[in-house]
Amino acid sequence: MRDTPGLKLTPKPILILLLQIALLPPRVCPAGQLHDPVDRGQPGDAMIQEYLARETEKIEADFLTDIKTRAAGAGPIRVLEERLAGKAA
Amino acid sequence: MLARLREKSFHHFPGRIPAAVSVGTTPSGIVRLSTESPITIRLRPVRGATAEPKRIWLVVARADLNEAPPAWLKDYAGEQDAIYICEPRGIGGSQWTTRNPPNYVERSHYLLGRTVDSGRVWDIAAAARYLRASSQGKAEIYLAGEGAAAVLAGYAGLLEPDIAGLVLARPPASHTDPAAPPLLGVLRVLDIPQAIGLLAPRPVTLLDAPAECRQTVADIYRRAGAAERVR
Repeated sequence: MRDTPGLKLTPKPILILLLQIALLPPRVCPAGQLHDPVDRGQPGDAMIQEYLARETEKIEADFLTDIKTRAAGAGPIRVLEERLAGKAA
Repeated sequence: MLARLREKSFHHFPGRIPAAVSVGTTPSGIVRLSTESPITIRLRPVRGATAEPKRIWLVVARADLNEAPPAWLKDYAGEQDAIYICEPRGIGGSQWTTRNPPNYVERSHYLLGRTVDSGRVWDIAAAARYLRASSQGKAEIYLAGEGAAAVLAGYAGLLEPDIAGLVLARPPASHTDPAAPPLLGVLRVLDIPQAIGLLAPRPVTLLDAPAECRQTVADIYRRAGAAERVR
């Protein structure tokens, strides 16, 4: 295979390029991912957002209400551990 | 089957959906109904109940209240019948911002184990009970809908025993049809024709329904001894 004059790549320029990319300053975003502004353009926006928030709170309030003891709460975790152990064996 | 449907797709519904409550009327006569706090929907009388109607038709809107009642309704609604158009949540006066993607509202409903359309079924049933109560229980409530709205009306009929009959135009043949309203887990229990069949023995009229859908509904009605009640 013939070498093309002027396009001969050596490891050194590639390493320099990678180093330059690595040293690029990161985009500063102190609050992490930004939220979109809340939709208010349609008449039902506030209503449906409030509905979803209330229903979420209801579900959260009922979460784990069926579990009365620590042992009962550990049950599902124990089942999962046993299954994983069985799979590993 | 109905119990399984409740468990899979309507698990967030109470045993019976309570009647909607009027929270105001606009000068043009549009009634604002609270169906499930904080959800409010609109109801427009097309032909109001000035006297004592024997039947009240509740037409499920597809776009908004300004749409005229479907032309085919005049073949079923008599001169003495009252007609109302109902906008379930997210339609017309309660429309919310929709961007596709990201479909925030629709996806949030899925995370809560429900869909926007299961909520619409609630609204229709609650509005039907409101109308029934407003006639002191004297008028029979009939539902009418077209396309996806016909399917929503069908499920509302299944879940609300006070609905006396339905006229369903051009219902999609299956929930696998993109035009059909999505309901979580519904295909684990039944599909649209079986859901309509479960309305037996209440009278159901199918207009321009797919042939297979019509056949399945007719078979179920025949087995229920109500063959003459499906047209």
